Amino acid sequence: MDQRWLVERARGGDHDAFAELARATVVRLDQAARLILRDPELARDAVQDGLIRAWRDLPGLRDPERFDAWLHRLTVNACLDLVRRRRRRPIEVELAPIHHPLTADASVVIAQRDLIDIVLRGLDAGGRAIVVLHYYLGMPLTEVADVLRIPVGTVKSRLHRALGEMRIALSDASADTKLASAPGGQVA
Amino acid sequence: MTSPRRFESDLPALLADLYLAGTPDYRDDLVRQTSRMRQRPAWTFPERWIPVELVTTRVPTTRMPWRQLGVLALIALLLAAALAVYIGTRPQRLPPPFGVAGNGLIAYSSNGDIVVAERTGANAQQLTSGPESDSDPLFSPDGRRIAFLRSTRAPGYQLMVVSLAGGRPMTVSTKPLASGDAFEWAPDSDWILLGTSDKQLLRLDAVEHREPVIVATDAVAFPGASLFRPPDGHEIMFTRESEVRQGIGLGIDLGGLWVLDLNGDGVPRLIIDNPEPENRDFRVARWSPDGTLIAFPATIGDGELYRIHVANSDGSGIRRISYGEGIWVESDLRWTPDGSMIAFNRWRKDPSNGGWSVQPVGIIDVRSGTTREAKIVGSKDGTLFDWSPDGTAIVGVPGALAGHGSAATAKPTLIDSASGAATDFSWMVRTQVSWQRIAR
Repeated sequence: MDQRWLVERARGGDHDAFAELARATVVRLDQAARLILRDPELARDAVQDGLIRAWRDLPGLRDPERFDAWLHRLTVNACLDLVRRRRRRPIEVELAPIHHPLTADASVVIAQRDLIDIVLRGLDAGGRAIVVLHYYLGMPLTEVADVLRIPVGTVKSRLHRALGEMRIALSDASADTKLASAPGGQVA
Repeated sequence: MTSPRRFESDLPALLADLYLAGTPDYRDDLVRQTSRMRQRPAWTFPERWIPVELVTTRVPTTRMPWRQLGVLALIALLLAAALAVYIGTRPQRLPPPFGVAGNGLIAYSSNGDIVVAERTGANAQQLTSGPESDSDPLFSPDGRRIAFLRSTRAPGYQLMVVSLAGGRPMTVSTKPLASGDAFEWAPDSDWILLGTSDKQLLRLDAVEHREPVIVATDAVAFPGASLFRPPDGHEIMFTRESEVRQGIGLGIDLGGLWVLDLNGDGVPRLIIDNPEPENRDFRVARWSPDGTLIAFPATIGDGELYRIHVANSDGSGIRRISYGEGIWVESDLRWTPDGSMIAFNRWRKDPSNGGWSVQPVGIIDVRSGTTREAKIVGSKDGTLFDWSPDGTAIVGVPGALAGHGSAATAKPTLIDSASGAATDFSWMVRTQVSWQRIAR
């Protein structure tokens, strides 16, 4: 069913149309929120907050074509609000140090999926939000800037920094897994 | 090393592969919940109909003819005179809204209800009941009412007020609060300032059912900041996140500190900016009890030190007051009622392994900078605490109880400020407790 038609219907108060939109988007929103918040319970809260606000404020959406971006904005902002409003503790963000090498005698080969998980943890919530918006939700940088309400230049510099940190961490971790996976678990 | 181009092209698939949780189990429940909610009417969105974006919403004012104004002023004078006579004949005195006061009852959340009791636990009185979960009690400055959060089956929370004299609690919020929305009683105890997750400060009447009034927009009020400036509360302060910057090491977005005169033209003014490389955490800024100073954590160049700073009430004279060796994060400041000291949570970084460890609550003398320790109530999240109204003790619960909806429970701990001696209360609570202010 045409999304624009559903948005227009939902904007006019048709909850069935909104339910259709919500069912179609909730999986992606949940995954995006989990990537940003790193906590499934918080992600659920953020997605709930975002979708509730979407239903409530949908009459204010001028352009139905902007629904996806608008919904992503609500959800990402709900994520960042949760991060801001939780009591901040340095050990919450004292994540696995990005440049800390894995021990050479680790016998378990770490899949690339787990490497990405580790390096994502090394970013703060704002950095993860930019990475998720651009690479997971597929938003152009101008739209990311609009969602986060920061200049495009700031988005670019933060993204550049985040990717650099991720690449270095992946490279370090990959080098160590090669050591760990040497025959007999010993360094060649 | 993976080439940059290859890494970036693989990243979308890698991110998609990270969490393959399937359809969230709350999907259908969420759809049902929204079906019970109303949408905002389209006419309440001016940006839908006009080509400009409204940045602020002014508090509506009306102008009245002088004659009617004079009649109202006369009526107000007569009422004030009658009230003065009435109050003058009453034996009970009210405490001041700020500064030192007497220690009254303690309000806490127990088994989902709001209870008040004496410090010893004697004469406990349950003020709320029912299937809802009530938490986060906060006494009004005059000690007569308690604001609290109510969680029902619907998402979000309701802000409620119950009288100490008894009676049915009144709902003061008109739409659900999100987890983490901050609220604070006005000094006159007749209304509550609510900071919402969509960055509005709302005036909620605590005496009668009235529609909320928008006091400020693009304003962030964080649980832990004080909003009303003593002694009269005519000014409020808040931070703004219009200029989004990352707080180094804490992943927070830092804005400047703004003040709004509630009796003025409704336009906030910036009193302390937050330019690079400064990192001032105004989310937890606190007025001194006399309203002449503002305390807040700020870095001193190294993003891993957040030390206590103070500034004059107009934003001038910013100076650090907390010193000492080591890498520290100091936060969650609380002035003593007499304004001589500040208690705070702190964490220290271990240089050998880079790990952070929570340290005992610190108490710093504002004038001398001398810091001593109070017992932690403890968890890695620090302590939720506040001073007793008379300033002789700190009452705290583990920081794990923070955040609305926490399921953890603990016994509050009372720490004598002078001796450091700590004693636990006899009852279990689910959130931070609130101590009633009474006249001395």
